[in-house]
Amino acid sequence: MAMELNIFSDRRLNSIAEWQGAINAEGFPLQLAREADLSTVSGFLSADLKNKRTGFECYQDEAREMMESLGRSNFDRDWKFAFGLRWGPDFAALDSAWMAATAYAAAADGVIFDYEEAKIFTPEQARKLVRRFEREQPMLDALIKDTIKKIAGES
Amino acid sequence: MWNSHNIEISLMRLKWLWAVRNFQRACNILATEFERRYSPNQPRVPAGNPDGGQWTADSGTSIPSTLDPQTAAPDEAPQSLAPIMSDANPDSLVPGAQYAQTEIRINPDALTGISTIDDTTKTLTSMLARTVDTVDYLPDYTPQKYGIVVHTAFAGTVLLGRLPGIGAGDVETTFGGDYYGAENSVRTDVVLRNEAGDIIAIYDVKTGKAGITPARAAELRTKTGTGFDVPIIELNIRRGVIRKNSRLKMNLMAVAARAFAFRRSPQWQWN
Repeated sequence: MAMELNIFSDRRLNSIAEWQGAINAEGFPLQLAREADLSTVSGFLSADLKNKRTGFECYQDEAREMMESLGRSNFDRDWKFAFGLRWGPDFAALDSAWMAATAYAAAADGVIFDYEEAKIFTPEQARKLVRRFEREQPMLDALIKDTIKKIAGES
Repeated sequence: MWNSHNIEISLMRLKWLWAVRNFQRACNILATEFERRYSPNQPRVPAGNPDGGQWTADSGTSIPSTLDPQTAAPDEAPQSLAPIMSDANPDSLVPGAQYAQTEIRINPDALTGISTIDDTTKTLTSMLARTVDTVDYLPDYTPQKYGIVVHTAFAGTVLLGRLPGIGAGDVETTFGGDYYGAENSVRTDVVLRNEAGDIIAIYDVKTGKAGITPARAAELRTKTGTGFDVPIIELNIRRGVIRKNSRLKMNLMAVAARAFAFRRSPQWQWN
């Protein structure tokens, strides 16, 4: 089950090392697979989020084609490059994809197009969303844990 | 101090807790059911029997298919899932269909004219609608987390649905690698196969406002080794059901030829 986003920018990050540097600069607890080649990546890229193995798919897309596909009206300017991220039904994958995208967009002076809301996120807006994810998750975990206890108690 | 805002927030939180509870219950039931039904050690009805190949609960009783487009209306729910697909009575496991409140429109162009594919499209759409019913959308869910919850619940629902042509390995299937996590592998949501095991349709669920782009559809085709004769069908809870790259030039005869090979056969469904 696929959820997606695209990063639009006027310059590309050249390597996983550069991307990882941007992630580190944001302070995100995310480690990308070091051995991957960012220029040729086309599919899954593994990552560790807080020491948990996760990941997402990555694609070097054609910016103009993607902007046409996603709706020109969603963009207030043209971008040279598009980089797509895609992931499955996994909270860790969602968190890691958004952390990675936020860092990429910030480092490349780009923006993120989110398929869920069909809108553009600046890096600052994306940071807020990532923080909201982080705030929500413990509450969600606690609620689920509490619910399991209640269910176990009932049965 | 209680005021209308506080009450509203409290009600919202209660509703959210209820949704989480329903979802967790659904996951627990799905996990238990999946383990029970698809355990490799569980016996199956021998070949040659009318129910040959199906999982059995014991030495002689086959577990009936809970949702079979050949015999059931598309909007009939799997019996085991029906109770948790309804907000109306989430605690009681009363058999019987609870019709989905959510409506997902099937765009006429999404239908191929091939009954095998179209029946599956209708059934999956119905399953997705029921999944959406299960997971309330609440304002304090981020749309992104809501999407994850819907995707997860739908995957489990399809696994338990045991649809012809969609085996346990056809949900969240990895292509381009031995396992998801292999470098440059991709994952499809659901693939439908004919009797020969060829993919005859690819389904991708979308919970957001934006759909599958042609670039991503092309990636899916490349990695799955399929051509334009295999439709990629987007099941979008907001925009409805849409066929991607449904070229006028698409060779419907090729689709028909592949689908012709499709027959209900328990041996190939689950072996």
